Amino acid sequence: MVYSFAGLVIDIRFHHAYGKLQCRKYEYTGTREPDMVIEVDEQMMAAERAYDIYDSEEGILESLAAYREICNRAFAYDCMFMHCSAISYKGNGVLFTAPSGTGKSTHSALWCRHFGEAVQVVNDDKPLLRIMDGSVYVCGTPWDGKHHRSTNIMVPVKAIVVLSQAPNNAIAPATPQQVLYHILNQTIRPEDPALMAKVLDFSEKLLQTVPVYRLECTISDEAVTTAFEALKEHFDED
Amino acid sequence: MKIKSDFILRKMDDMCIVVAVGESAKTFNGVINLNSTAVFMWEKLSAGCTRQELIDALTGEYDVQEEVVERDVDKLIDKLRAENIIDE
Repeated sequence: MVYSFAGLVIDIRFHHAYGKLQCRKYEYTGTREPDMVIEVDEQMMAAERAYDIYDSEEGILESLAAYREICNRAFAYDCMFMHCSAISYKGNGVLFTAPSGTGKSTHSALWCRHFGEAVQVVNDDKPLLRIMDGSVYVCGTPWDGKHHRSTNIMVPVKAIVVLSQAPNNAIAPATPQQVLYHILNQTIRPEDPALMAKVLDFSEKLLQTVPVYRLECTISDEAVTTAFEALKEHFDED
Repeated sequence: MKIKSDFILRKMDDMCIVVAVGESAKTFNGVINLNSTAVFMWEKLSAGCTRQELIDALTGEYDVQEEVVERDVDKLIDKLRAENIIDE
């Protein structure tokens, strides 16, 4: 079945039903030839099993292996995946990044609640970022977290926000040094030096073009307004 | 002493970082930030040198007392050994 996301057309030959169901929203009916063909073989399944700590069933492993392969090949298209919760405020992309369990999805959900239709969730879990015409875009993909929150759109990234839990809400600009470690921890960390060089190239470009912030926050509407007040200068209002 | 070949130094704008690839990437997933002095030391160690050679290079390059240099070199070498970054 052929799918499309991040401006790519990808033929994924799933054997198991899980992946087909997961990607259904992203099926492609156009006429472009696929940019890549993905078929998960036994070697890729074995590698995925080695990473897996949840004793996942075969369909889930196939889906993860497929995305891993897509993410590796996507570097050729100036794409890199990042584990973060990405939203769009009136077409302005914001990436919320933090270790698992910090509350990225919760914070994104609070933005949706506060702004209603002005905010869409681009991808709540593992979006692809893509550099096009010198700008970084964030893209919806079928690998969008356990609640399947994503939209098949691409929006320019206007800010990256590193989240942490705190008793009070406060946001401050961060330096690339402070944020690079977070970014590298939320994307692939390849053993292959050539692939690692591409990750570093992409991260460098990201930090050169997108302002970064650190947000200490609670679970509250005020967390959203605090963040928004600092970020809005980077947004284009339509 | 020599820094293992699977640690790569990368200059990015005004930062200098080190990450692990290959075998070392299996156990080291940090990111090392190096200031300019540390970069100087790192580049010497990457080519391979003894503790004394490193001290001599630093006292030659920087206007600083030898005891301060020795202390800083030992501190760095201890850290690198602890993280399994150098081959002796």
